Amino acid sequence: MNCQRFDGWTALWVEGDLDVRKQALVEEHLASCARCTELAGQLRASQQTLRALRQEIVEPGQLEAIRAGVLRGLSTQEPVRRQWLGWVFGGRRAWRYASLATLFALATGSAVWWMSVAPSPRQEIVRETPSVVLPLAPSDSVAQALSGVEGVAERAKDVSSLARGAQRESGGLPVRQADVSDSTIAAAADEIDEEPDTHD
Amino acid sequence: MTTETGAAGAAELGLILMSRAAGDANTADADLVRLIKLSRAGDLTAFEQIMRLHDRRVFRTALRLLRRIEDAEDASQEVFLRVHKHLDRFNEAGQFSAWVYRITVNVCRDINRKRSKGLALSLDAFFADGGSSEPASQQPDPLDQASQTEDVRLAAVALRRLPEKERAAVVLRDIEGLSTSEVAGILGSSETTVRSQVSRARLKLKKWRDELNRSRT
Repeated sequence: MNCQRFDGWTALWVEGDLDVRKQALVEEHLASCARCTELAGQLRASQQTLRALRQEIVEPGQLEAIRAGVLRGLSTQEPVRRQWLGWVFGGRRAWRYASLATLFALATGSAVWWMSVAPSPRQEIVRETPSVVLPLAPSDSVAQALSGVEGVAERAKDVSSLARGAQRESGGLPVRQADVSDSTIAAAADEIDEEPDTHD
Repeated sequence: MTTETGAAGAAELGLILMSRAAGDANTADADLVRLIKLSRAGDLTAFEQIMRLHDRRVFRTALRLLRRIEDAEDASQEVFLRVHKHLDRFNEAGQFSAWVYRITVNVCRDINRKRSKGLALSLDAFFADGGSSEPASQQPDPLDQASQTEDVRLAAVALRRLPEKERAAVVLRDIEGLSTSEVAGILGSSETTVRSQVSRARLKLKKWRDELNRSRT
């Protein structure tokens, strides 16, 4: 294999960045190649110098100035808007347009839905017109009501028979219902009330 | 944004600082999570502590990526402003420092794009001037001046010559000491791509370092 093809791998090998297979290949090559061994040594020295940049002294005053600038900026900026408001009004231009389009679509959809669901004025008038509601009564109630009607009819018969009796008593003169005295009717009603109620 | 710190928050912050002073490394992550929560609640004192934990790395990385100290200072401030702005988006399961590095790289990338062309250090000009001058458009890097050895200064100069992506990869891998997978995550690249970039960068740095040494002798 050409030595120069190992250069890239050697540059990685000096910092342990190769996988096991390539590492073995490089080490095998280095064992028999003075040029690549020298290159590896120079790379190590170069890397050591580069790493020394990490230890450079940064003046504390510079860092303090940076922090002070940040805090000054944070204390003077307006309060952070809520996230969704930030997307709508303060985000990137594309996000802003997308958010506004979404809001417009939602508003339009809501309006269309409301118009299709909400009643028209004519429907409102019809709805307000009173209607007779006939509740569906249970069969027991119907039977009770019918028996009540029968009772009234029987009482009417009793009143008319009392009227005929009074006519007989008066010598055959026709007696109108108005001529029957109140006491006669009250007596008849008392008689009727004393009869047992058979409909309960 | 409120600058007031509640009594409970101040007490909690005091405990965090005490634990840090005691050097309890096991609680460092938990402390950071607490600081993040306090910062989210608007506690600027807690956010200042977060900055103290990361400002050196952010500034150092920005300086190596941008090459100008003024740009590095501006970038560092922008990084922390973005960190504060997007603290809600930070997933606590992730690594905060990696997230900060990612923002740093993005900010530096933005600044590099905005910056006019032609600021790249010309190695030819460097050789012509005996390897001691800075380009006219750049101020001397005080960090380079403060370096104890000439080798380190030459390494810093050579680093500036690298293309942006290779420089970012080698700064994060070799100077900041992150793993290849961490660098790949920060740069949004595959590990294979990062290895390739790092490999090329190391060879170039070694070559330029040799040339600079030869030119000085």
